[in-house]
Amino acid sequence: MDLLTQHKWDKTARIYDLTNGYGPEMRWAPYKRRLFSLMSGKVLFVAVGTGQDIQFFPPKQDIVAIDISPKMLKRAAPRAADYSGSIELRRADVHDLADPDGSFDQVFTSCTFCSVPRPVEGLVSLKRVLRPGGQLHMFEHTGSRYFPFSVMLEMLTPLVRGFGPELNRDTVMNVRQAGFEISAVKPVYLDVVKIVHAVAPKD
Amino acid sequence: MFGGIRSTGRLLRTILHRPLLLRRVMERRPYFVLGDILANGVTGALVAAACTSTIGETVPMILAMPVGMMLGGMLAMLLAAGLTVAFGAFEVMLPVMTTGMLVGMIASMRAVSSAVAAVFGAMAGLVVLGFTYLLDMHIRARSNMWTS
Repeated sequence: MDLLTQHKWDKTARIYDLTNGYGPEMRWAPYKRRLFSLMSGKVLFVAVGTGQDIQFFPPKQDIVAIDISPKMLKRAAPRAADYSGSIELRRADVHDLADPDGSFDQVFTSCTFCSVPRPVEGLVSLKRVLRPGGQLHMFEHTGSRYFPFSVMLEMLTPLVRGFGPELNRDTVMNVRQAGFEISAVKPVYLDVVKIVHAVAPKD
Repeated sequence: MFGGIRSTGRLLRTILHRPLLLRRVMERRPYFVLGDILANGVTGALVAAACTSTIGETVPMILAMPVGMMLGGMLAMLLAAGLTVAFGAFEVMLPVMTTGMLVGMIASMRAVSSAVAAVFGAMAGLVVLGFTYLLDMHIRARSNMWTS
């Protein structure tokens, strides 16, 4: 378990709903609702945080939702309890998942791989727990190719790293490097916020 | 050079292709559109007024520009931190910070009253916002061939 990362998100848990609960969530709500509507079978949701995304889940799904921070999970618990299907909340580090190989049909992430310390390793771990041909669906923010946003996100990353996400990641490249086959990348805002659909190879 | 011309051509086609235009506008909900306008307009006005009143006419332009840009960027970052709570994360942060840096740089170069600078700043903020909406439409139009 990565205790430094856990400590960072434990500290952030207190203010997370205040800073992200309204503006960002409502702005992204239509995209998230559409993305999560793809849920079916046994689903792993990575980095559930305070459970803000649960409101966008389609009803009656069978979901295992993990997070590294116990304080985040504590805040997510009432939202998980209100959900119409089954959400099992678990404390886990994405780098070191205990689940057997091929346990899940789908993996969903939401603003997760901006914060995972070793993203390619984390994605390889997700590929292991996905069944061959299983789907990875991600709602993520990344760096930009466009000036001045590219420079701005590079400059802000060291400032926010201590209490929040990294803003300059190339998550699409990381997904490829982890061995997934990318089926689509759809922009949500500029080339910064995006939805990535990928598949675990069948061999 | 030809790549740049082709990109501009694609951008113009995106803008002029009206039926697709509305579908590709990144935000159509009035709350968020008005929030974007308010965030960029207010940031531009405040940064311009702050820069003209703190950076004196005697400061050489070569120094005033980077100082104004840094001051504007920092002020915009603080404003963005508050505005994101209400209106969205990157959708607010990126245009607001661009507005802050650009307006800070330009406002530091000119000897005008704070009121005139504020009006200019607000207008510049709206231009930056318009640019981000157009760039977003351009990226959406190209998203089929876009991989990263």
